[in-house]
Amino acid sequence: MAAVRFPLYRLEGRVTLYQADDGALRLEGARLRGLEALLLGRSPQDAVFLVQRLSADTGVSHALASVMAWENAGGTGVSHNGALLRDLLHALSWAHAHLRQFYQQALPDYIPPAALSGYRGAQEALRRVAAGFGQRPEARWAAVGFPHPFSAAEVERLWANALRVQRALGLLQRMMAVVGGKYPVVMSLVPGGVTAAISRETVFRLQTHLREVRALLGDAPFEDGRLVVRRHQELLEGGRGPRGLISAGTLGDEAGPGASLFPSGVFLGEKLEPFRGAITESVHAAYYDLPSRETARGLLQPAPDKPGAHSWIKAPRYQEQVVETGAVARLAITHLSGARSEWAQEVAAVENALGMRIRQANTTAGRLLARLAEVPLLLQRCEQALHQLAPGNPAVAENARDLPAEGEGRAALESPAGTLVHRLALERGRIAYYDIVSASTWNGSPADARGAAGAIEVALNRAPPDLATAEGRRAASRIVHSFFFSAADAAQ
Amino acid sequence: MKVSRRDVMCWLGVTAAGGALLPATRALGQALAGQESPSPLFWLKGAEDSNLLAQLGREVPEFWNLVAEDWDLADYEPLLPTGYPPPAADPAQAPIVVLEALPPAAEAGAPEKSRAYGLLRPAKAAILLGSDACYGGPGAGADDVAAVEAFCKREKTPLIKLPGIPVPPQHLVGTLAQLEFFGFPPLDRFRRPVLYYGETVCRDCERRGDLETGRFADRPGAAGCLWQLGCKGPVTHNSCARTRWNGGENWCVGAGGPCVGCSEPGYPDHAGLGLYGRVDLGGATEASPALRHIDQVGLGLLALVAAGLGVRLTRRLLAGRSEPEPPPASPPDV
Repeated sequence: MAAVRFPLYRLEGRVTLYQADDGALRLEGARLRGLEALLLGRSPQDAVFLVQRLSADTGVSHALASVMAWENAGGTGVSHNGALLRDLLHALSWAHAHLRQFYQQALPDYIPPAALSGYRGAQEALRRVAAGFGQRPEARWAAVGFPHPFSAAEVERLWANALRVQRALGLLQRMMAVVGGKYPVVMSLVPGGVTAAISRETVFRLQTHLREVRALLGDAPFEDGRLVVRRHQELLEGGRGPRGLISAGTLGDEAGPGASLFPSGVFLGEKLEPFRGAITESVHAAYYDLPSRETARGLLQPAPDKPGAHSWIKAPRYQEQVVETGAVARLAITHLSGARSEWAQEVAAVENALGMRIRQANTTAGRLLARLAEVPLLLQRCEQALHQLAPGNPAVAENARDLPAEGEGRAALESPAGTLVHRLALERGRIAYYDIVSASTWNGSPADARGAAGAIEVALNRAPPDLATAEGRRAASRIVHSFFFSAADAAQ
Repeated sequence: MKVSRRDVMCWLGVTAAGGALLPATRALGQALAGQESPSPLFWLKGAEDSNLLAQLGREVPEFWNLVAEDWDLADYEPLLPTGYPPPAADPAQAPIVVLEALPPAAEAGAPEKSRAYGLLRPAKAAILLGSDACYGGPGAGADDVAAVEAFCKREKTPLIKLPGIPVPPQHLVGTLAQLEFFGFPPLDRFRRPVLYYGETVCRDCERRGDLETGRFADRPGAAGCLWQLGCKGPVTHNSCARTRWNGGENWCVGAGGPCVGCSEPGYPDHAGLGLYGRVDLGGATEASPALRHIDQVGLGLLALVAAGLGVRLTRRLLAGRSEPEPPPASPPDV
């Protein structure tokens, strides 16, 4: 019997799930983007733009990692305003990514568009949406229906909130455009800071937008997440990932070490350890050959016909261990490090909703809720950054003009989906080596040489859903979406 | 709602010239969706610019009613249990096919077996969306682009390119509206609609005055024209300077970022310059401003506009400026 293959919908890029001969579910990963190879020989400023092509949701994080790796090679500092504007841009892109991911990628796994058809309620906007479904019934996305546990009032609430969130997303994009020029793909990140000039007027404009976003959202996203979890108790234990958790830490670094909104750390099952960057990449089941010996620092060589391989995603490991990265890992590591008291409330909310400790919460439900719990704090960080800005002062550091032509740099930070690492080497001012490990690479990786699979395959194979049935495919889709997986981002 | 061609023309003007961008885009989407029998729209989604669909869904909710079907490239492998029937194109209604990702070049050899190529043959128009689909890049192979171009030429399927990273939503909605209400839009020699890609970014740039007076930014973040920092505005054709991005909030140059020429065929190499290499302005220096040269570039391309729909719009845009020269014989070879 031919193995059932299931292409996943509503995520960036293409990836297929299939059942291997041993019965386990595997991710047949993505396709090679060739981005790392494209960067060779180019100026590092080109890389800051081009790496954003990997993914819209984590693009700002990629650009920041790229410019920070370049700064790391040159020992360049960042101006006060520049650091704040970067934080603002980064936090905004996170909030945008989290909200978009939940309402547009994850939620349709739980509530079909068809649930709203025939809506006769009081809300004019919803009536218009429902009427649109009727107009073109052959439209695939509106016709899809499946049984769901939500009452009519709950359907109305979820749809109404989804529409409100769309307006909030528009405002968040406008705010990012003020600092970055446009979104997606921001244009203003340079070594030493940000090129956008910030006046009192722009700060005021940003504050107004931010207030409107907060008024639109309220606590609706987290409450919607809780509603989904309450109606789907199987999510509480389902899709449990590996024990190891990793976070590179990010946001608020300019105030000095230890001041990050998210501290860095690694939890390998027993205690919190500092993040040392002991990252290895295995290509055991990936379509790559190791670089030849002549090029000590060469890129992995694509090998599309490699026997035993089934994915274009390489397998990064921390001290040879499989680790999960993402919002649960961030929250657990922040909580375990005990450094930031403002997180206590968010962690307690997630723990109460799940009925389990945060460090064991890397299940489907935990991942959904942890992301949504981050949103209010991200918006709070935006407000702080706006408050601390000194309008009129330059946002690019003076010493950023003397950049080295040779050197090696490295940056590790958190993207909305998890830990992101960029490594580069410069020769005569051009990129001689570039290596990216993104969050989806960690989570979506295939088995390494020891046979240990990445976090998504671990989660899928706790109780492998039957891909031959619609329910099974939906269950698989729920697990993969809970990771904020992006196939476009996973293979570089 | 009954809309007149005149209304549509006004809205199209706004999507190209800026102003009330979102209301105009929304009105066009509503006009498209409100037609008696709109052309079915088939959409092959790409990888990284998938945000465009979401953006459209937010700004123009009615747009969704047009999309007969959208698939991921992953659906492509034969006999997948996707649960959805293959698209049944009504022969009376030629579809419009939007290719954000491209089918593998190998499928062009056996188009009768391929869903995308099967739709391209009877299509009213094929729209390549995004710079990767238009010119090849990390999202699509150059051979895939060549295969689609060759197929469309052979089968006489009109091909439109909408490059950009990403593509502004109004470019797509506006192009569809032109197709539905006015027929095939005038294209430039790279098959981009003249309405949106007819003029250089430099021409309407907010820092144009700095260029003309020779005030150049010498380091990132400084005030002045960004030419010295590698701005591709003088050679890039797009409407960003007028319409700006994200509802007209800001744009690359507005945030101090030099234009990288993302909608040009030369992107990202730009003939060896890279994204931030300085464009040669024909001997122009800081002391001898580049005004002359830039205007020549601008006029040469304006000339292309003078066909069909373009005329009235350009007249409005050009009020008080010189009339464009008659067009060279190059509009769309369908």
